[in-house]
Amino acid sequence: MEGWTIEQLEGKDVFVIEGQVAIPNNYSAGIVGSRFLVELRDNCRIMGIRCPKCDRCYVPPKSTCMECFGQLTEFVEVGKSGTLLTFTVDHHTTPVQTASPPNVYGIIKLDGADTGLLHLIGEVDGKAVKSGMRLEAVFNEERRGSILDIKYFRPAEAG
Amino acid sequence: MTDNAEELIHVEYTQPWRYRWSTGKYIGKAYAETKRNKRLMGNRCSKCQEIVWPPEPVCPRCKVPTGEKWVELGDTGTVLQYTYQVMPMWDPHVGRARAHPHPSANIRMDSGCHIMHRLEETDPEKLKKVKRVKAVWKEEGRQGGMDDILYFRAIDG
Amino acid sequence: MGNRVAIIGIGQTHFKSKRPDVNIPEMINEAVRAALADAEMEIKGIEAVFTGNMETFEGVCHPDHWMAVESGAFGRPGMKVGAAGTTGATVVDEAFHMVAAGVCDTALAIGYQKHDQGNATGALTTCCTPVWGAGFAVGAMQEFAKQALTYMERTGAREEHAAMVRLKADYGACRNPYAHLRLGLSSIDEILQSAYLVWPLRILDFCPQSNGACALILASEHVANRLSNKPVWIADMITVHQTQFRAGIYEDLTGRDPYSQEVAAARLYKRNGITDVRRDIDLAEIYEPSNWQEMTTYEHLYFCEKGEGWKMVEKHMTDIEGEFPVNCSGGVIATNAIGATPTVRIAEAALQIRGDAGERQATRDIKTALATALGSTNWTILTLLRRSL
Repeated sequence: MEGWTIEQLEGKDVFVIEGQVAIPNNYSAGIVGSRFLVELRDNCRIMGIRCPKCDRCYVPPKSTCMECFGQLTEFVEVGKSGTLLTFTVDHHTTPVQTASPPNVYGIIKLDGADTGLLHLIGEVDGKAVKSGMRLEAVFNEERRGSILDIKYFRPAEAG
Repeated sequence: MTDNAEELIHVEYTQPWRYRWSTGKYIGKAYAETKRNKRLMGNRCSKCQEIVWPPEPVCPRCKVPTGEKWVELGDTGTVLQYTYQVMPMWDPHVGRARAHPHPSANIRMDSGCHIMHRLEETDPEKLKKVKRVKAVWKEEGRQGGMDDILYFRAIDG
Repeated sequence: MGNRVAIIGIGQTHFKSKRPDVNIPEMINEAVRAALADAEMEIKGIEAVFTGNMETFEGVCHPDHWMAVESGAFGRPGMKVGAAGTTGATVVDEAFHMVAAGVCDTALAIGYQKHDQGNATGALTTCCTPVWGAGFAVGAMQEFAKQALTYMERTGAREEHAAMVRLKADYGACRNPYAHLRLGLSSIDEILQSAYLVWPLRILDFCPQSNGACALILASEHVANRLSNKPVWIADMITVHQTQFRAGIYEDLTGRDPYSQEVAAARLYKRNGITDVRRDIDLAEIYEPSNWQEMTTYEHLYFCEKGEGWKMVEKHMTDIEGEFPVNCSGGVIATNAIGATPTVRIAEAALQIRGDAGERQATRDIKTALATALGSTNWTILTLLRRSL
């Protein structure tokens, strides 16, 4: 049969069928998510959204406030630099990774934001990364409206 | 804040999911019989004496272990229902849209079992008269499973 | 039975073929806000949240993680439910059980589907394992097509009758601002001229793939009486499972095993004192992905004798103006966001009881209504709603 292989286990009346399922999917970022991605792509700006009632800024932006369930519309630009909250160094390879290991993944609280953003950390050895260190965004030359328009965050110059 | 405020970002992707499925020993037995002997084999429930098809360790009606009393389903049967595809549809196992050329049918085998398979006849008018059918087995390249039967061919009586 | 439970809030999105302006959480949020507004409540009044969809259809694993804030589940108990085609009723059933058991006084149930993010036929084909059935399956349509053929052969129904069901559905959909396909069909000829998809099913015989969500707020008796001036009471819910038939997915061709809808209906009627279905129930919202399915469902639910579903259609008994209206909303043939579809059936039946169905309101007064749900392996959930208990 097209699309898979059938293998009989040696000496047994048991068979193993190997193949794959491939279904075309897509993802709509929606109005709020699209605004974030378009700003990254066109202006290298990182946008958050603010709840005026709770005085809380979400990055990436979302349409509903976690605390008060209010509908959010107030976009604000946040800093390209921030503080590393926590991180991990990933050494193993899986088919869905966007970069080859080892990868340093960090959660970064950008200046002006009240939430952490997950991203890659680059230009630094995994052993030298410390929670609390200052990081800054490095943008790709070619950008296409993706969170990976930020290439990674690197240690920021002191001051 | 931007001229592109109304632009909507949309990402398309196809992410293949790999699988390795085992037949287990009951369906494995059925696979082995189609591959080696061109036979459809089910197992008989020890309580209600019905043939369980596809073979299973538990009778779906009696909820008792079926055991390994193997029975042949035979090659002949009667078409109960059929349909054929006009529009191509997505087949995730081959990763593209296609319309299978052979009509799909529910067939009552003379042994009393019901199976789903395909019919050789593709002409919509001639299909209406197809009732009695017989399995046409692959002579070469049988790997185990229902695909060892190419399709069911119309027969007289 | 446990405590009495009522529906006090109903919200649904406008169902459409494309929703690029929202992601899944934002789409759900529209229905949640609508239900809260309908109940004149705030989210803090909700004690538990249940969500569900056909999960593989959007290609996202655990979509509930992404939408905890937008669904209202953040910081609350509840769970994601998956039960194939019946999911949208299973979420209501879960909420119903929680409130009936006295675990909470209010619960929110949300069914949803964002079909434009995937390929339903492709995803549904993976219900068949590579070991058995894959390569023979083309999703649900093929089985509905075979069912249509058998129905014609057994009962004398013709393609014209299926077309009449489709015309009735469009009449309702055109009066329902939330419906997806609102075609403005004027005659059965237009339907009989549409192209075949899977013979003998035509494009207009089968449901579309819609995007949308539906949310219901359930409350215990004392809360419902305090917060709502028009609660709709859930008199009963019943679930019946079935194994895959060895022949015929939507009917047992072996003639041995009763269909799950028949078993569920018989039990539901018995325990609620329903002896004459068309006298004791005023209206139904049924799960009919194909117009042929509507006629067989009449029979499975004992609306008529076996083999006579098409006669009810021919006599216009189930029209909006008819003596026993079915699917005034336009039904599933007009709108199918699968995970939301059974929730919409219950929502629409409840709106009819409240008298809030607008232009699609049945002509006769609706005091008791039945809503159905149908899942891939033939399991059934029925919901019986009443204006008063």
